Order: sequence, then C-alpha cells, then structure tokens
Amino acid sequence: MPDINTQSLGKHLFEQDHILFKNSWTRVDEYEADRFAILEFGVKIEDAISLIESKLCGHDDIKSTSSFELTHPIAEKRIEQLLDLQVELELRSRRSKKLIDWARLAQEYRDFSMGQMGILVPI
Amino acid sequence: MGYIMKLLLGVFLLFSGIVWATDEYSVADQFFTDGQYSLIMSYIKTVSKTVYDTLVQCELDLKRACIQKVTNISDQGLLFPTGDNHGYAILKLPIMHGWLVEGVQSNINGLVGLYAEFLLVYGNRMPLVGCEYILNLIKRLDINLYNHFLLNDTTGENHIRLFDMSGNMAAVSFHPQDGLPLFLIDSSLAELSLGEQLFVFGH
Repeated sequence: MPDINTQSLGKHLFEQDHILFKNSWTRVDEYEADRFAILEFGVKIEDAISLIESKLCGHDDIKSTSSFELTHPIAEKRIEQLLDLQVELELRSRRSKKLIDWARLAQEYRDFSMGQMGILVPI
Repeated sequence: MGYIMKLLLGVFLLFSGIVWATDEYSVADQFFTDGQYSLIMSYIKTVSKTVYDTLVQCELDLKRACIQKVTNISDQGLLFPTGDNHGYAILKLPIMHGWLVEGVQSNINGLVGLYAEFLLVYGNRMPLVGCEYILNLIKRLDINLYNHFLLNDTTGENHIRLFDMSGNMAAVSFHPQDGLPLFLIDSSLAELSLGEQLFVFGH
C-alpha cells in the first residue's frame, strides 16, 4: 500500500486510540452528569428514565456502533445507574444540601477556555 | 447522536483557531468613521451576503455599528455575544492602512469567514420568551445558578441559541467570556414534559 509505513501507521493508530480514550472519558462524564442532575438538582429519577426511554433507547446510531466507540453510555446502562441512585438519594435527603459556588466554577471554565470556544456536547 | 457529535466536533475544530476577543474596549473612537465603515460594509457584502445582512440587522437592533476598530492586530477577531449585545457577535477589525490592498482584503476575508462560521452554529437567536422559559427551568433547578446567570445575562440571549439538531434536544458548551453554560436548543425540547426538560438542563 503506497504512503503507509510504520511511522504513518503508528500515527494513525495513536489518533484512533486517542479518540477511544476521549470517548470513554466522555461516557464517564455523561454518567456523572446524570447523577448530578438527580442528586444535586433534585430532578426526579422517573423523569430522567422517561426521557431516556422515549428519546434514547433503540437509537439507530447506538444500534450500529460498538459501545466502546460511543460518546454516550448505552441508554439501558444509564437507566440502570439511575435506578441505583435511589438509595443514595434517600440518604442524601436526610442531609442538608451542598451549596455550589457557581461563580468560582464559571471562573474556572473561563480561565480554561482562554477565550476560545469549548466543544459542544449533545445532552 | 454520533452524527450530531461529529458535526459539532467539526464545527469546534473550525473554531479552534479563533482568538476570541476577551477585552472590552473603552477608547472613545472604537468605531470606524462613516466613510471607512461604508467601505468595509460594501466589501463584506461582496464576501458574504449572510454576514453582511446579519451586521446590518445587528446595527438596526443595537443602534450602533457592529464592527469595532482595534488598534492592535492581535485583538482582531470576534467578540462573542455578551453584555448588551443582545445575542449578536461583534466583528473586531484592525485599523487598515492601504485599504483594498491584497493582504488587507485577505485578512478581512478570514475574519468574515470566522463570523460566517459563528453564524452557522450560533446564528439563530432564541426569542426572548424562549429564553425566559429556559431561565425559569434553571431557576427551578438552582436559584443560585439562576441569579448568577442574571448577573451576566439579564435576558439569556447571549447564552441560549436555537439550533437544528434533528431531534437531539440540546447541546451544551461554555461561554468563552464568562464561563457560564452556553446552550443550543433544538425545537424538539418543546415535546418533552416539564420533568424531562428539567433533566435535560440538570444533566
């Protein structure tokens, strides 16, 4: 094959590995975002499950793609996690709500961006 | 969702070279003279009709020119919608000597291109009633976040935009000027129940 050597193949493999690592990290973030919505914002678990079932279950893209290539967890796995949050939610309801310093968080994002746009992530 | 992700990532890559103007100009003569402004606008019209039309509409709505003059070339670029710009980006152009010289035109072409890329994703402004609705969702989630939002954007226009994502409800990034969430909203969000909408934004 023309133009293919060890070096160019290595670069190609590294790029693909990089994408897979990024995707796995994004999937962890997505789980955490689900968790945050329930535990910190008090969104009802049944509303979250209702949305995922109606909009994300059986999505064509997900059906045709290996799970490790996805940017988002498989819908069924997200629902499993949401159901598991019930116990933690009950425990948390007995404690006082943690206040979030939004100004500091926004400052961190602003500093991180250095004036450039961030990546848009579908919800 | 993968297609949308690729599209958004592609758009991000297009944007990644942009140096967003981060400083507010306080100099009195931050705008070009009428003669310079007319010349610039007529040239922009030949480069991109979409950018030209947006700048004209911006000028009508803000009652001031939406092109600002910068003295240092490193300050050129786009000022992302912020403050009292009501969702419009401001084009920052350097003072040009030898206007219409090939190099100057090439620079303007690049900046107009960036503005066009901005319009591709962030061009559709959300009507105020839509912004108010979404701000109320944020208020239901966390009153402190809502208050912090209002401090930076009283109407939400600079942080909430309409974008067709083929039914994918919404996408989020962060505003380069203030670090607050920057939402792209698909019209399919309206099909969801209140509880589901709260999950979308809580997420």
